[in-house]
Parts: sequence; structure tokens; C-alpha cells
Amino acid sequence: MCKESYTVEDFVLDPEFQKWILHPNKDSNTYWDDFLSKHPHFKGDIALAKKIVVNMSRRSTKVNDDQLAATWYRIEQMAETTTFSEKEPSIVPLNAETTLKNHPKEVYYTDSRLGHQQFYRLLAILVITFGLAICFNLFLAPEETPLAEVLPEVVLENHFAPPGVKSSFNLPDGSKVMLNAGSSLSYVRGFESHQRFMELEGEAFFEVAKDVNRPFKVKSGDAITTALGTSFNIKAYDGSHLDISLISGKVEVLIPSAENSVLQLEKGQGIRMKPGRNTLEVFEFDEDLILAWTRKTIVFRNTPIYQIKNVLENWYGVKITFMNSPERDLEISGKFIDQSLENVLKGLSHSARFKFVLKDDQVFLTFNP
Amino acid sequence: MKIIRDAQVLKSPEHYWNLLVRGDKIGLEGIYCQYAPELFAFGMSLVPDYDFVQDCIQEVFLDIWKYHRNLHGVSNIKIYLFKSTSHKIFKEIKRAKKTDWAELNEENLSLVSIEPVESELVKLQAKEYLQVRVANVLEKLPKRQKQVLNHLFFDHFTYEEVAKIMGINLRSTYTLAWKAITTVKKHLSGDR
Repeated sequence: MCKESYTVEDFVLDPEFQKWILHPNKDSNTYWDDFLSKHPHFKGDIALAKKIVVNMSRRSTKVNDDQLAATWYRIEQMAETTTFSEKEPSIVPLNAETTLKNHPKEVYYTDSRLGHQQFYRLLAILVITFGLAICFNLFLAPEETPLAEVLPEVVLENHFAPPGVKSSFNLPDGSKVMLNAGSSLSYVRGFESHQRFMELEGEAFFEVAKDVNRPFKVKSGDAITTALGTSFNIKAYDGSHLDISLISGKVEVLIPSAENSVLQLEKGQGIRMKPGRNTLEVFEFDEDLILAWTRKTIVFRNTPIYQIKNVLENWYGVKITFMNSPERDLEISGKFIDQSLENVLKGLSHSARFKFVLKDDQVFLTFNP
Repeated sequence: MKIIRDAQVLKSPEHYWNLLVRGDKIGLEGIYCQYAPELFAFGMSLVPDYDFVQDCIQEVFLDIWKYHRNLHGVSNIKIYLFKSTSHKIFKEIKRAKKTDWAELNEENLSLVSIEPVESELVKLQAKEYLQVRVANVLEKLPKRQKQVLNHLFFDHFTYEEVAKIMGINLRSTYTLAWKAITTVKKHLSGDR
């Protein structure tokens, strides 16, 4: 991260900064002196960050040697009874024999009655079978699934909608997600116990199921949007500006790299961050425009031709090539509900005055002179 | 504990780990002597209840004893033990459905002291009342945030290692730490 966009928190958490504060040396002094003379406005932030690092303390609860020894004694005692694996091959037959030896009287005394003999034979077979099964479970099973019990692996779920395809699905908590073309969403399978955290690239619309104990968090680019039960749209395609629009309810947006980084949005408000800048812009939006994509609708309002190219390429999963340069400042408006690419291009070709050739997943546009 | 009392010089953790993998109890004891103090400090920082933490740590060591044959793949012993302990503690918290340990009993309270971050210079600039204040803020943070700060500032783990221990990605680790520092900042920025 570039230090020009640092907040107090970022300084505190920067290992180099901590090192300078706690164990300064000549090099780090030179570096930070230089940084401060170049960026004098950081003086206040750095002073506060320093104060936090210097005073960082925790309540410490050290256990004494007796307690350590007592715990070891308990572990040793219990470990004694877990000597297990070496004996296991001999246990299996032994157990079956012992089981049989436990019933000799019955077997011999009922000798005369054939029916009973049959019954005990059956019983013996059942006992041996179950005995073996139990032995196998007790002594073999732990070997096969050992580490899983100590450390469950974190499995990441990843949904990806390739260009040209939109995808809707439900999350494990019942929240609904609609993923726009060329976007991906990933999260820990089943979510963690304390939060519903996911990372988004591209655009998605969320209808969040209420769960006050597990905040719903979406990380997109630099921003983390937190919601409890609400619906919102995030647009964060790589290299394009980041838009977060709130349709209903309330969300909080955290952008560590920006000034005034925690923002509460009201219904109908959105925030926009331009790529590479740290300033935020709050805007009122038109719900129809923002959510048009979820209704299979493409809306252009005085949209520059280069942006239209990106939208169509992603929407239909095609590659568009301009055969000659369009007029600069060419902006077009139009609205297309569930239309084929050909119809959209036909519609646009009148106002933008171009001819087009559609071949497989390639589109060639030639603008009229 | 024979090892600590008999020979003052402990052998390397790897030496004991290899013994443990082969099923030698000396290995288990060596690993315990090396890491138990840190694991207790870590556990008690999350849950200030000696009996609770003792049970968790005991379980962790019995588990590695039980499954010693599968431990040869472990590349970083300390990370592995912290991760196992962290996992065990959160699992037990969930099972006990106990969320608040704010009430310290007398036995536990006697063990509590304020531990400042390590530095050669701290004495010159730190103020004791501020350290107490920060320690109190840390105490009230959500457990995961507290864990991140503890690992970063007191256990000297890197962000990568903390992410591994807590089973989350780097971004989430940083975000948790960031939020924790925001809270600390609020309590310190008043009297700049």
C-alpha cells in the first residue's frame, strides 16, 4: 500500500513503522524524517500512531511453574492410557475368542436341542461380526481421519459468472445473490461463525438475510461493505470506478485507504470511488438504472461509446473491434430489455451511425464518416 | 517435569518433534516444555479462566499424542500449535455457550499484570495510565480482534502467520487488526 493514503491505523499496523518506534536505528530515522519532511501534514497522524504503538499493552495472565507442571502431569496420565496402536493386530482375534469363551456353558448345555444350538451359533456369528466392527472403528478409524479432527481445513467456495452469463444463487445463510457477467464471488464454505465474509470482483446485487449476530460483509476493491439485513448493489470491475448503491435498509462502508473511511449509507444513496484516488463521492441514484442489469435491461444515458463497448463485451461475452475511430465525445442513450446483441447493435447503429458485422463472438464496427 | 528440572538446556523443538512423531513420550514432554508457557499466555489472553484454558491445552497435547504418526508433514511447529489451540478454544467457547468471562475469579486475578509491548525506549515515552487504558480497551474487544492484536504485537507473528493461525485470509486479518486499532485510537485520541 502506498503510504500517501495511510491513516493512523495503517501506520500503527505497518511493521516498519512499529520497528521505527520501538527499535529505532539510523536508517529508519532517516527514512521517516525524510517522509515527514515530504509529507508534513502527516505529523498529527504519526504522533497519534506513535502514541498507540508505544502504549500498546495487554493484560497478561502468566501461569506459574506449578500450574504448568500440574497440567503436564494430567497430560502424562491421560497419554498413558492412550497407548493404543501397537497392540491392535492382536486385539481383533483375541476379542472374538474371549467373546466365545464367555458363552461356553450355554453352548454345551443346550447341545441336545438343535434349535437352540442354531440360535447360539447365530448369536456367536453376530457377536463376532459386531465385535470386529467395533474393534475396527475403535482402533483403525482414528488413523484415517486424524488431522481433520485437529485442524479442519478452510474450504473456499467460488462462484464465477463468465462474460456473457449472469448467475443467481442463494448463499448458505439464505441471502440471495445475483452475479453480473464477468464477476466472481468467493467465501469460506458455510461462512465463519462470527461473520458472513465474502470477496467480490465485478458486480453483484445482494438481498441479505437477517442475522444480527453475523454481519454480512462484502469486500470489493478497497471497500468493505457491512450489512445486517438489507439489499444493495456493488459494482467493482477492475480498473473501473467502484460503486456501492443501497436499495433498502442500512449499510456501513469501510474504506481503509480513504479519508473519512467509515460511511453510513441511507436508502437511495450510493458512494463512488474513482480508481487510484482516495476521495469518495456520495451520489443519489436511480434504482432503475442501477438495477437494470438484474432485470435483463441495458440502459445507456449519454454513455460514451468506449464505455458502451465494455458493457456490451461483458454482457454478451463478445469482442468488439472498432474498424475506424468514432467521433470523439460520441455519447449515446438507449434502453434494451432482454434483447439479442444483433437487435441492440441495430438500435444503436441509427443514433451512432455505424455499420456492424457480427461473426461468432466477434463484432466489427465501422463508423460512417 | 523431568526435562526442565534435570537439564537446564533444552534441545531444539525440531529434535523433540521428531521424537514425538516416532511415538516417544520424551518428545511430547519436550514440546510441552517449549511451548506450554506461550500457549497458556495466549489462551488466557483470550479467555481469562485458568481451568478452561488448561482443559483446552491438555486436549491439544493429547490430540498430537494420539495422532503423532501424522505430524511429520507439519512445517512450522509453533504455528501448528497456536492454530490447534486457537481452534480448540473457539470450539469449546461455542460448546460451552459461554461468551462472557468478564468476571475474573480471585485465583485468576492474582495472575493478572499489565504487559507492555517490548521496546528499549518504551520507558522514556510510555505513560502507565495510558498502558492500563489500552489494556482495558483490548480486554473489551471482540475475541477475534483481540487475538489478532495479541499475535501481532505480543507474540511477534507476521500477518501471514496470523492468517494461518486464525484460518482466514490476509485481507481479513488486516481488517480485523484495523478495526481493533480504530477502537484503541478512539480511546487515546481524546488527550492528544
